[in-house]
Amino acid sequence: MMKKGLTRRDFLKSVGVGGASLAVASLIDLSRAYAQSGEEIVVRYLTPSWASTRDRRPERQVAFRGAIDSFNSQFASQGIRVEEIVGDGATLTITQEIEAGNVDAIWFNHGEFQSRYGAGQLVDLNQYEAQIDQFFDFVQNTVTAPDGAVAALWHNTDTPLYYYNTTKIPTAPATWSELVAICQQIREEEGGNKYGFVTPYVGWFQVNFGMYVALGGTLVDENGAPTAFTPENLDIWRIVFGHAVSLIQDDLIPASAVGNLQNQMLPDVFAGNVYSFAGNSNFHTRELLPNLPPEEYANWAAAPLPYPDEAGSGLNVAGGWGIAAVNSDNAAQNAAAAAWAIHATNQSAMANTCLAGGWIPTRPEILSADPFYSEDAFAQVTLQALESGWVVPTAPIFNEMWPAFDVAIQRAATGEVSIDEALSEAEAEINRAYEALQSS
Amino acid sequence: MNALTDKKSIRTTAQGNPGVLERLLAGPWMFILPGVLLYGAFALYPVIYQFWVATTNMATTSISRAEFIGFHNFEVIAADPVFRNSFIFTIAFVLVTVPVQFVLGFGLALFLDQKLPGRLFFRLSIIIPLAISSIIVGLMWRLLLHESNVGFVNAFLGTLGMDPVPWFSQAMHARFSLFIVNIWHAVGTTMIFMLGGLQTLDQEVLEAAEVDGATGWQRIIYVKLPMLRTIAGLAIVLIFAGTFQIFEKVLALTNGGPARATSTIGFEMYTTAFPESGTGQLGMGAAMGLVMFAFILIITIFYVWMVIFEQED
Repeated sequence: MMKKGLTRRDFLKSVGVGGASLAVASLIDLSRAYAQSGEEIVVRYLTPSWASTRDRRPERQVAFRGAIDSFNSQFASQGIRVEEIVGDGATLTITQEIEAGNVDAIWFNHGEFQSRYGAGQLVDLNQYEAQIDQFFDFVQNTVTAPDGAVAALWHNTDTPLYYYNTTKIPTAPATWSELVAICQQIREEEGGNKYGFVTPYVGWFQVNFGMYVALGGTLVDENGAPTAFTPENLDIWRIVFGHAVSLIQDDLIPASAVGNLQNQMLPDVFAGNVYSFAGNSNFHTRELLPNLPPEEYANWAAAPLPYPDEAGSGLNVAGGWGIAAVNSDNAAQNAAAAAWAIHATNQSAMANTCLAGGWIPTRPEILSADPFYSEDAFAQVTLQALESGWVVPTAPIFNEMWPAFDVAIQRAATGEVSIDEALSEAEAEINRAYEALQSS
Repeated sequence: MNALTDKKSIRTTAQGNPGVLERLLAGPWMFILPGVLLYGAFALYPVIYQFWVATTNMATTSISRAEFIGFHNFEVIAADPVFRNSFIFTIAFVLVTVPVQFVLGFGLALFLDQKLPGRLFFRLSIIIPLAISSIIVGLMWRLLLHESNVGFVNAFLGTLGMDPVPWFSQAMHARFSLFIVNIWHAVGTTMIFMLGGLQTLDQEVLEAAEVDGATGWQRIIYVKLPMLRTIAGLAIVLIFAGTFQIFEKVLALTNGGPARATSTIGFEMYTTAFPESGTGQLGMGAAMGLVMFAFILIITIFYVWMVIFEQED
C-alpha cells in the first residue's frame, strides 16, 4: 500500500535511479584513481579463496590477514598498500583479469610460471632483489626463465610420500624390491582384502615419473621436443612399467587402483584394507589426521617413496603455488607489486601462511629452523624428499605426455595390451600431439 | 481498432506517410526488441563467439593474443584417435541409452498412471534423483560402487557369496557403471514427460478402445503411444541432447577411465580446454564443442521438422 507520501511510480523511479547509481559506482576503480594521482599505490592482488582471508578456516584468515597487514604497515610511509581480490584460482580467470588490467599481483600454479613470463605478463623479480638463492634448488630452477629472470616466487610445495602403518610395516622400504617383498609377505599372511600397498594409476605419471628420471630417463630436449622414446629411454620405461604392471597382475595391490585417483584409494586405507600407500605430502594433515581415530593416526609414519633398485636413489616430483607481479606500463606499480610478492614469500610470512594452510614451505630454512616443522616427523620426511625434489618440464608437450602415459600404464596393467604395445600407443599419441603443437 | 492503431492513424493523418523509424516504433518491434536483445546477448552471441574461438589458437594463459588459424583445430581433432574414440563412445552410449531410458521412463509412467496404493511414494522416489546434481550423483555412486568391501554394492554381493565386481578398473564394467548411473539419474525426466502426456489423453478415446475389445497392450501400442508421439518425440530429443552432452557424471564417476574407456566428447572437450596441469587449449576445446553442437542441432531440427510435418498433415 503506497497511498501517502510515495507513489508506486516514485518508488519504482527511486529504485531505478538507485540501481543505476550503484552500477555506475561499481565501474569506478578507486584504487587505480589513487595510483594515478601519486598519493597511494594499491597493489590489487588476485588470489583464490582457499589462500585468502576469505577462506572458511580461521587459521588461514588470520595468517593471510597477517601477511597483508604487515605489508601495509611496512610500506605505509611509501604510500603503498595491498588489496586482496578473491577469485576462483582458475587459469582462465587469472588471464582474463591480467589482460583486462584489473590485477597487479597474482597467486598461481607453478606450471604457469614460465608460460606467463614468456607471454610478457610478469615482471622479472630479480630486478627487485628477490633473493631466490634462499629457496630450494628445484624452486630456483623452475622460477628462473631462460633469460635469467625470476618469473615468480614459489610459496608452497608438495611431493608424494610413502605412508605406512608401523604396526604392520615397522620399517619403510627404501627400494622397489623391498616394497614388493613386503606386499608379498602381507598377501601370503593375510590374503583376502588385505594388501601391503596401494598407489593410484590415475595420476600415476605424476607420482612415479621422477623415478624414471632417477634411472636416467629424459622427457624433452632443450627445444621442448619429446625424447621419451629413444631406445635407451624405452628400456627405462620397461623397468618402470614392469614394476607397476606386476604390482597389479601379481595381485600385490588392489586391482581397483587402476581406476583410482589418489584420494579414491583412501577408503581402503581407512577401512584397514591396505597398510601403506603413496600419497601427497599434505595427506597426513588433510586425510589421515581428520579421518582416523587418534590411536590409529599415531601408528602412521611417512618416508620418501621407494625407488628403483637400479637407480640408487629416487627423485621426487614437486609441485605447488607461487606469487608474481603482473607487468604493466607503470614502473612504480610494478615495483609495488614486486615488493608484495617478495614480502608474501619472505621467511616470516611464508612460515605463517604455510603453517595455516598445512603446506610445505619452499625455503628449506623454515623446515629446519621453525619449531613446528623441525619437530614434525612428516615435515622432516618431506624436507628429506624435497632435497631430491624435481619439477616437471614446462615444455607444452609435457601436458600431453601426462595423460598419454597414464592411459598407457592403465592399459598395460589391466592386461588389455602388452607393455611394449602400451608404450608404442603413447609414443604415437605424443608424436601426434607434438606435430599439432608445432603446426599451430 | 485498438489504442495503438488509433494513435497511428491520427499521426499518419496529421503528418502524412510515417517514416521507417515511426513505423518501427509504432509496430510490434518495440515489444519484441527486449526479448531479441536478451536472446542475442545470451544465446546467439555465445554461439558466434564459440565459432570464433574454434578458429583460433586461444589458450587459457593467453586470450587476447589468440591468432586466427582457420579450420586447423577441426583438422587436428578429425585426425586425433583420442577424440575419435571419445566420439565413437559417445555415439554408442547415446544409441544404447536413448531407447533404454525412453522405454523405461514410459513404462514407469504407465505404471504410475494407474490408481495404485503408494503411487505418490513411487513417483517421488523416481523424481527425487533429479533434484541431486550430477556431480553429487557421480561421487555418491563412486562410493556405492567402490570395488573393495567398502562399497555397498560389492559388500552386498559378497554377503551373497559373489565375487566383487571391478566397476571402475575394467573398461566394460566402467562403461556399464556409467550407463546404470546415468539411467538412474535421468529416467525420472522421461517419466515426468510421459506421465504428463498420459494424463492429458482423451479418456473417451481410451474407453472406446476398451469397449472395442482392445487389450491393455494394444491400447498402449495402438492408442496411447500414437496420441503421445509429439511428447514422446520431445522426450527423445531431450534424452538425446542430455546424453550426448554427458560430462559431470563422467568426471565424478570414472574420470573418463580406465584408459579413457569412458571418455565422452564433453569430457574430452573439458580436459582439452581445462587440463589438470598446464595450459588449456581453448580453441581446440571450442572446436570439439561445435562438433557436439552440430549433432544436437541436427536431431533438434529433425524433431522440429517432424512436428511441422505432422501439423501440416
